Amino acid sequence: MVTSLLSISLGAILINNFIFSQFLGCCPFLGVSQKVDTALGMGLAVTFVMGMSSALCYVVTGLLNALGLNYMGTLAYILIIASLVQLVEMFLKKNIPSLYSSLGIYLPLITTNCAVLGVVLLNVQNSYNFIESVTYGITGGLGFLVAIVLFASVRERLQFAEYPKSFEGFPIALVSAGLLALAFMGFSGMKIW
Amino acid sequence: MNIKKQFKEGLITNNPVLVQLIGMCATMAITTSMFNGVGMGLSVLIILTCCNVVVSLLRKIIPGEIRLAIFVVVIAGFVTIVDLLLQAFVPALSDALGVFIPLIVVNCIIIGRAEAFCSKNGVAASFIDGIAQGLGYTLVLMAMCFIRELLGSGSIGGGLIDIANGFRLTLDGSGAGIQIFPSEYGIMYMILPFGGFMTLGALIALMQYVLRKSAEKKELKEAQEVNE
Amino acid sequence: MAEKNSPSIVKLAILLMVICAVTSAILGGVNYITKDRIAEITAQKTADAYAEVLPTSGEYTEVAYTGDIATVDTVATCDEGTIVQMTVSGAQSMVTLVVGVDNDGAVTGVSIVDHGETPGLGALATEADWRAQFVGQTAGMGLTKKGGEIEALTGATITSQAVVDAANVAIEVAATMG
Repeated sequence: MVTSLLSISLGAILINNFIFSQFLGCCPFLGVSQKVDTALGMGLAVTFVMGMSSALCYVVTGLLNALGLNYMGTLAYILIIASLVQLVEMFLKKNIPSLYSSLGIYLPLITTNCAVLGVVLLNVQNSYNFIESVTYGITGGLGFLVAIVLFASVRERLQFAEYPKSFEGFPIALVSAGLLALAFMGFSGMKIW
Repeated sequence: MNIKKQFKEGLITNNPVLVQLIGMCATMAITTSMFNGVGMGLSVLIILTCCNVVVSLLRKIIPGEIRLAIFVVVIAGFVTIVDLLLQAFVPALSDALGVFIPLIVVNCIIIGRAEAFCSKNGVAASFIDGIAQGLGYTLVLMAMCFIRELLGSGSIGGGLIDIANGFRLTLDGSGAGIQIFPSEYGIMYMILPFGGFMTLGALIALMQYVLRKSAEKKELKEAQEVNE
Repeated sequence: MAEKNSPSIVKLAILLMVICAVTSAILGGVNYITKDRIAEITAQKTADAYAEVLPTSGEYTEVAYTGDIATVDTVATCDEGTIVQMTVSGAQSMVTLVVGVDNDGAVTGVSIVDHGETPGLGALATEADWRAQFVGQTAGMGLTKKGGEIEALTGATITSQAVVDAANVAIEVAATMG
C-alpha cells in the first residue's frame, strides 16, 4: 500500500508531471506565470481543488456506477468541480479573508483548468481506490505547483534575454517550457520497487 | 453577415490557437500523427458548431447570472455524445486521444466562443463562426502534426494515409503513412513533449511575424496616402 | 451569485434543472444507441488479444484469480493452456498486457493491450518482432544484458524489464491455476 502510494506520488510530481509530460493545465501554466508569487498562489489553489475534487468525484463515480450511468461521468465531474470552486471561493471570502485576497482572483480560473478534470478522469481510468485517488489528486497538484513555480522563475529572467522580436511573449515562453520539459525527461524511468 | 470576414478571422487574423492563444493543451499533447490531429480537430469543430448553435438559440432566455453554468452543461452534453459515438464507431481514434476527448469540455475555445460570440449573435452567424474557428483549430493541429511527424518519425499522414495497397485514406487509423526517410533517423524528441512546446512556440512566432509585417505594410501605405 | 437576494432564484434553479434534464435525456438516448456496440468492440479487442497469444480450438473460460499478486487482472483457461491479463508499471505509464502460457509452462505469446509509453522508445514494445522473442521462453527468463534470453529494446530497458517480469509472473500464475 505504502509503496503504491509512494510510486503514485513520485509519478505525479516528477516522472509524469502534469504539465511537462501530460500537457494538462497548460492554459494557467502559461497565463499565470509571469511572477513567482502569483505562480505559487495559483499552484496552491490548484493543489487544493485537485485533492478535493478527486475525493468528491470518487464518491460520485461509485454512485454513477451503481446506477449504471457511467456515461454521465464527464457532465457530473465538471459540475462538481465548478460548484466546488464556487464553494471554496465563498468559504474563503467569509472565513479566511487574508487567504482569499491572495488566492481569490485565481479561483474562478481553476474550473477551466484541464489538470483538475484530467486528474479526475485519470483516477477513473486507472481505477484507483479512494486513498489512491486523493493521493494522486494532491501530488498531481504538487507537480503542477513545482512546474509553474520553476517556470515562473525562468520567465522572470527572460526579460533580460535577447531574442528575435517575433518570439516576444508566448513563443519564447513556450520554448523555455520546452527546455524544462526536456529536463524533466531525465526523471523518466525512476521507480520505487 | 459577412461570411468571408468570419472565415478570415477564424483561419488567420483571429485564429484560436495562434492568435487568441487558447486551447493549447490538446494542441501540444496529441499532435504526434496526422490521424490524431485531424480526428481531434474535426471533433472540436463538430462540438463547437453544435454548441454555438444551441447557445445562440438559447441566448434570449438564458439569464446572465447562470449563463456559464448553462454553457458548461450544454458543452459537456455535446462532448459526451461525441465521445460515445467515437467509442462506438471510430475506436482507434478514441484509443489514441484517450482522456483528451472528455477534456474538450474545458477547452477554452468552446466556452470562449460561447461567451464572446454566440451570446451576442444570431444562429446563422454563430453556425458559421463555429465552422470557421473549428477549421482554424484543425489547420493548426494539422500543421503541428505535419512538422512533428515528419521530423520525428520521418513520415507524412501517419494513420490516415495508406500506400501499401495503392494510395487510399484509412479512417480506422491503420495506414502507415508515407515514409519519407526511415524512422530510425528521425529526431525522436519532436514527438515527445519537448517537441510539442517547441513546434507551437515556433508557429506562434511565425504568426506574429506575419501579422506584424502586414500591419507595417498597411501603415506604410496609409502614411503614403496621407502624404499624397 | 447565490448570495443575491432576488426573487427569481427559484426560476433560475428551475431553468438550470430543465436544461440539465434535457441534456441527460439526450445523453441517455445516445448511450442507448451506442452501448451495445461499445461493449461489442471491447469484447472483440480482448478476444483478438487472446487469439493472438494462445489460439485455441476450444473456448476460453474465465477463471477467478484467488492468488495475491496485485498486478493480475484476469485469468482465462483453455485446452491449450492459460492466458493471464496483467497491468504492470512500465517506464512512463501503466502497461496492460496479455500473456499466453501453454500447459508445459512455456510462453506462447505476449500482446500489449494498452500503454502510455514513450513513442519511439518504450512504445516499440508493441512491435510484433520484439514480442516474438518471448515465444517458447520458460520461467526465469531475463534480459540478455543480465545473462538472459530477451534482447532489450534500445533505450527502453525499463519497459523491456517490465514485460519480462510480467511474463515470468504469468508463468507462475499459470502454474498455480493448473
